Amino acid sequence: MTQPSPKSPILKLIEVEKVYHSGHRELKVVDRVSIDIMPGESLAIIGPSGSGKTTLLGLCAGLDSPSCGRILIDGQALEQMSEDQRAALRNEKVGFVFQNFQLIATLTALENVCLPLELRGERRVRERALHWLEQVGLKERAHHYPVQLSGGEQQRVALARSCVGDPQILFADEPTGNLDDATSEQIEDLLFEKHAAIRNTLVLVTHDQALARRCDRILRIRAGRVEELSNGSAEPAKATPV
Amino acid sequence: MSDTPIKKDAVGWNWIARMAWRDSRGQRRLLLLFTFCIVFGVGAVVAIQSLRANLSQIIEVQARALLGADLVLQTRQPYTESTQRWMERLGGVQSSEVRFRSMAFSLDADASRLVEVRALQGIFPLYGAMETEPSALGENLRDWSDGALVEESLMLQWGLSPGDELQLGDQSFIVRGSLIRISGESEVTGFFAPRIYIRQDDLESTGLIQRGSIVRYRQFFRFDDGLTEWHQQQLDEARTTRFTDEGIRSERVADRQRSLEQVMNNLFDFLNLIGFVALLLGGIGVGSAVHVFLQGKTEHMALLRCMGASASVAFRIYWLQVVVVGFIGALVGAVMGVLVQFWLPRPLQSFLPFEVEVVLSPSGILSGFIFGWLIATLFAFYPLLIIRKVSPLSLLRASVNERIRIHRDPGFALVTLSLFIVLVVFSIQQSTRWIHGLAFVGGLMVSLAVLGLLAIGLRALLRRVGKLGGPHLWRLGLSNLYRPNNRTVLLIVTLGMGVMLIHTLFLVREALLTQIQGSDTAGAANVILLDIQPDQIDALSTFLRERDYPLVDKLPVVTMRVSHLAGRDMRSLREDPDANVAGWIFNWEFRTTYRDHVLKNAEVIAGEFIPYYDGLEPFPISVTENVLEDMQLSLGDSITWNVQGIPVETTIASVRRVRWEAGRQNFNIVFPLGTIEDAPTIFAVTLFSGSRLDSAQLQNEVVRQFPNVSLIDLSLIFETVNEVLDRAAFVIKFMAAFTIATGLTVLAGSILTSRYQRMRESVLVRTLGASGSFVRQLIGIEFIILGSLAAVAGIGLSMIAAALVLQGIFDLPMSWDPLALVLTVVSIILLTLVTGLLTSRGIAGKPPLAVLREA
Repeated sequence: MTQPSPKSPILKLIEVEKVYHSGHRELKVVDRVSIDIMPGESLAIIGPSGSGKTTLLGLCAGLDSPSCGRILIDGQALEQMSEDQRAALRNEKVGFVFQNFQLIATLTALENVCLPLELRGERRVRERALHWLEQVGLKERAHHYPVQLSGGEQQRVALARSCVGDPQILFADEPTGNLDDATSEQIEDLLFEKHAAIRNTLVLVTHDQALARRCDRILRIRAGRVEELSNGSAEPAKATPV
Repeated sequence: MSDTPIKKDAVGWNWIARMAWRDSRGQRRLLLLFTFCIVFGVGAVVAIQSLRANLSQIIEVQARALLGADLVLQTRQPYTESTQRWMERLGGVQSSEVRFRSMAFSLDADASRLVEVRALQGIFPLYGAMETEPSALGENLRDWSDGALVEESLMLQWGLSPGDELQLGDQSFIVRGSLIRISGESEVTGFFAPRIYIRQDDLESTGLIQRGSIVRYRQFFRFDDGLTEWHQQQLDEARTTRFTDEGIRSERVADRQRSLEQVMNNLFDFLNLIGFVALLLGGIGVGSAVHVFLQGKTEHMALLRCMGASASVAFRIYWLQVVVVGFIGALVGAVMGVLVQFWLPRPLQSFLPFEVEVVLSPSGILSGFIFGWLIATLFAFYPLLIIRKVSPLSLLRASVNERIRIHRDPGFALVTLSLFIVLVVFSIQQSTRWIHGLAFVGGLMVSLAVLGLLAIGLRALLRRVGKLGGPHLWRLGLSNLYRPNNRTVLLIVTLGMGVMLIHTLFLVREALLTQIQGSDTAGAANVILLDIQPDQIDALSTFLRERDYPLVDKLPVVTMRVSHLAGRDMRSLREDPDANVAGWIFNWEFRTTYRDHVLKNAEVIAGEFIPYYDGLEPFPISVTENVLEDMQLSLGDSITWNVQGIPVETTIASVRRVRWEAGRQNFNIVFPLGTIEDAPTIFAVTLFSGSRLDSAQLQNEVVRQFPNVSLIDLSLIFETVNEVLDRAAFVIKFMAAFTIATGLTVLAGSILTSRYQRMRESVLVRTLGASGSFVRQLIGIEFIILGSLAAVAGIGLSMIAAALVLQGIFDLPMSWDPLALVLTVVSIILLTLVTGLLTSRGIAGKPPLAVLREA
């Protein structure tokens, strides 16, 4: 893993806007958002449905381009990159956990976990993938296909896959949204345990206040504008932009 | 801050291949099914191309045997002494044949039949072989006295064996054996009049050649060094002199080769069209199936993109699957084509003038395989282009991919251009001329577009009808044709194209047969007696009257050849490159008549028909419009005829349009009464016979009393045409079946790719309380509607195509049989229904919970 400078943010958003056009209407989903997220931090993005939190996550992860403003991951400006360069950057520095797991149905658990490393062109990836499956308690089920696993197990495989490449930032979109309470708790524990272990940055989108409170920082998004809440309270800690 | 350079495409083809293999897990059967869309197309193309190469090679190698000589001359009258001397000067080994049609009679079988008598002198054939049973009879023929070699079909028909007797005119012949095949002539040659070979020395005693008989005198030449430059020079000189004067036609090995190649080209161009259609539809089918297949893969692609795969990597994973699957499809198709090639010569054999020994043609197989593979892969490129556009963001927001439009992608234009080039190159490679190739592709595109528009129109019409109400089940079944990712239009086009091909063929065949049968049902003449000498006509009339046969018409026939057209002699016209007079006019022996009225099957379209004429030459004659065109003349122009050596001046007074129908005689040239009655005349008589049995009885009696008179029973023509059409239609139907098979495969593929969606719909309906039987009926209704639409579209277009073919080529109106039409529609619906139900098996019965858990 590349170690960032202790003082520079691993993810930086400067006056980022995202506007959608629907006919003649203009819909500003993200409105002049500026955030600095430091290495090792954990950050939760909360907000009501349709408030723009998933859009913000997509922008932060380089999955989408802002209408204006700048986004830097580890100091590299995304707007100057082509889609393929952004993909390569994601492969190098970013991991994802999705609400609906997003495992490839035709690959076994082990093969799913191997994928990020294989895409880097690395060899002997099997041992590392098995190590991560062991970390999430699924080494014995390495050769099972997603359809043979429960929802919780699938999300654990997805977590192993997101961590196997030692990403500097881990993005999680409602990681427990499709799981029951008990399983959600297990996944949350695992997520924060691994985050603490590899000391990467965690950015997660959630509706779950309890999950959000486990993060170092909480951002609330409403009508495209974000405000930072002090952890454990509903009151804003400081206004944006930071 | 990290300055790590961004790596691009760290993965190589090894990983791509591994990933493609993994990705295909659980869906390989489905992928293989896609390949079956092109299997039939490739199979058809490989079989046709390979057989074509095979036959071309045979024509090349056996060219001399196919003509049986280095040079053949043919004329309608005995060669003049001067020409005989000229032929002697040509040297080499020579033999001759006198060929004409007449009646043969078998006492043992108590049967008679129109046959083609071929009286030989000298060695025959000079090249190639005459296959007989017992073998090598041809070589002994010239040594037998009163011996005959009889075509196998007649031997079987009459139950003749060697040693039996056969009557030709006044002479009885001993059957020595049967003629099985003669190189250079196809089986069809003897369909109408089976061939009987006798010695030329025995010809005179038959008494069959009389004044006015249509006889062809053929002279065969074999030169030690082949046809030399000197020979060619002699022929060139003779062409504009003695050949024109005496109506002699020459044929060299190269001429025969060219004409055979032309026949082959026509046949194979048509068969290629069918193969091409099957391949193209298969390509579209593959493209469509891959499209549906990839739609289920968009999340995988988005995930790969999300995890860092470049667009190229994601593209290559699926491209490789398509290429491999296309390869397998083309390979299986090529193997099928090779197998078909071994079988195809059998039904074609009747039309081929040589025995086909199947030799595989690597170039034909390779070309069919490569083009099939390319076409399938290129069609699959369209859905593959979408992969490059799949956004990783779609993992968070699925609606992102809905906005993908590939029409503006440069790749779209590139693929379209490549596809067009491949199709044109493929088509040109198959056609003899590049312009044909272009026209071929253009015509096909237009047909597909018309069929596509028709399909869209029919679907829209049905939707409106559905909105008007009707049973719930019907409306639900109808709505299935509009489900997302439906392949309704594609299926109508693919199945409809097959229906169109087969039904067009059926309509053309029916119209041709109806035309022949038409006279029969109208109570018009159905028996024609030919070659009646003037001293026989009264006796024959009495003979017929005694047996209650009403004479429909008595037609005098005077034979003559053209001497001058509009004042120009035939020699100068032959030499004039701008003359444009049709070749046959120079050699043709016209059988003309004189009468005072226009026959029922003709109408005067220009000038005035003169019934009587008592003036001096030029005589005012009536000419058919096609002869007028071939002679490059117009109303009022003059024609000088050579009537048995005497010049007769005429002027064109009227032009007639004739509906040539079997059973009803007509003439290209009609003189008025009072003009050529004194010229040597023979007669033809047409009459009506109530039944086939009567005709056979009459035939036997006529042959006994008037051995030189030939009798043609209309039912014989009908049977001959029917048999020829049957055999031709079988080959075409067989090839068209490839198109239908492609359509059904596309249907099966489409159902299997949408199987999961259908299953979910079925579960939804059943969760709401519907029974399994309701779901099965629902599925059934969908396929019945689909089959009906395809049948209607195909039949609708086939009506237009058949009308164009019949009008343009045969000048016939279209006739159709409603029962046959209904049968076609029902067959297509049943085929669609059975294929649909077979591939939908299990959808209605799967437990709802099992499906819901899979979701």
